[in-house]
Amino acid sequence: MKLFITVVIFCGVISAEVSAATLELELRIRDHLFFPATLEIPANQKVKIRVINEDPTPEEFESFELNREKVIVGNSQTVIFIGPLAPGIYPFFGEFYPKTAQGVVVVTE
Amino acid sequence: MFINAVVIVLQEILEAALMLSLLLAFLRYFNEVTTLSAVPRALLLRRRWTVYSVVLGVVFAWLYSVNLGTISEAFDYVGLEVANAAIHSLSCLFLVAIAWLFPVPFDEESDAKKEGYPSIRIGMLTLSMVIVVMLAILREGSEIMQFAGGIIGQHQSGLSVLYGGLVGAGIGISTGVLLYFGLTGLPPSWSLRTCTLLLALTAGNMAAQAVLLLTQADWLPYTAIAWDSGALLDEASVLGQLSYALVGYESTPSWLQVAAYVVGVLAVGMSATTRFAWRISKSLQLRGV
Repeated sequence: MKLFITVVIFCGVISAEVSAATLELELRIRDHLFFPATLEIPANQKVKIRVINEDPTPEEFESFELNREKVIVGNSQTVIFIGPLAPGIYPFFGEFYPKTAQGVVVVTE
Repeated sequence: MFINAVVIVLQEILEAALMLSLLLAFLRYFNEVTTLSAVPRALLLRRRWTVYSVVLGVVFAWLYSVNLGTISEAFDYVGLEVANAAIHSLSCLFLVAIAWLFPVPFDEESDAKKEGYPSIRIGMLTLSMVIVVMLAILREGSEIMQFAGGIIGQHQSGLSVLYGGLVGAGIGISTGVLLYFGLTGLPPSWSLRTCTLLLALTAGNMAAQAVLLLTQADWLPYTAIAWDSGALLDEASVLGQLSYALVGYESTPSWLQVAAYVVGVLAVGMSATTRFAWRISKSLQLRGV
């Protein structure tokens, strides 16, 4: 229990350090493709991605690097929060149509 | 589309199949042990509950899948994360309940040795197992239904998706069967230890996933990445995916996820079942179980 409390406090300190205003971006799914396929975001900032699925079919936004996974029903929109992230390249893909639905999040200083 | 369907259905079925196999292995072992102890034969756990849990799981998965659009829009478009986090938290809770409710034979500290266990305890245990398996099927099944529903709506490549899904389901269920025979084939004391360990890791996995989902919804604060073991075991690899399905392996977990995982593991680890598995297995060997 002591360990747990220590970890929680520790996490709280880390999260307080990096919290900043949330940036909002838009990502569209059309014909099983992501638009834009590259999302550029600044480092150490939380980002709210509004995903708009214009296809009639559902898609699943998935990224091992970002630890994100979310189903987006056809003809609907949703929100996925990512970050704050360290600089680097974080690929993501549509799990239901992985051949075409590919994209990357590029995090720069 | 064929390979795609294989992969998606396999991923989803695997988690539910492994969960069911683990509980069945646990159950079989405990029934064997309790037959030799003072627990009345009438209270032995039956396997009929698996049928209920599978049927309920499929029905709820369908209801969840049909209403996914509405659920998704709730709470300012993070309803899906919140609902899934609730499902994972409940799974964790009932996995812990299973560990605490299992009738531990030969426990010198309790009167159960003389009187047997009350049927209410066995009933609650069975109910917990039904709920855990039902929730696993609900979680994974609804995703398969979303995927399949989208394809079938397109009137193309429907057959290849069906075949792919069947192959994926076949591999997933076979892996579950393999785990069951692997677990029950071990010497009893090691079988029980492995089962208990897997139960603890699964509870930790569920707690960590609930935390991850709530972080994704921005309901829980962001915490730094605890480590990066991606070079050691790639999450996208076959072994990585299997470890993910079995114990929730994540190559870059956050500190909060790690904390939740530890709490889940400890909640099972402190149960009488765990103590029994690690301490009293000697007396089992003496009895020739």
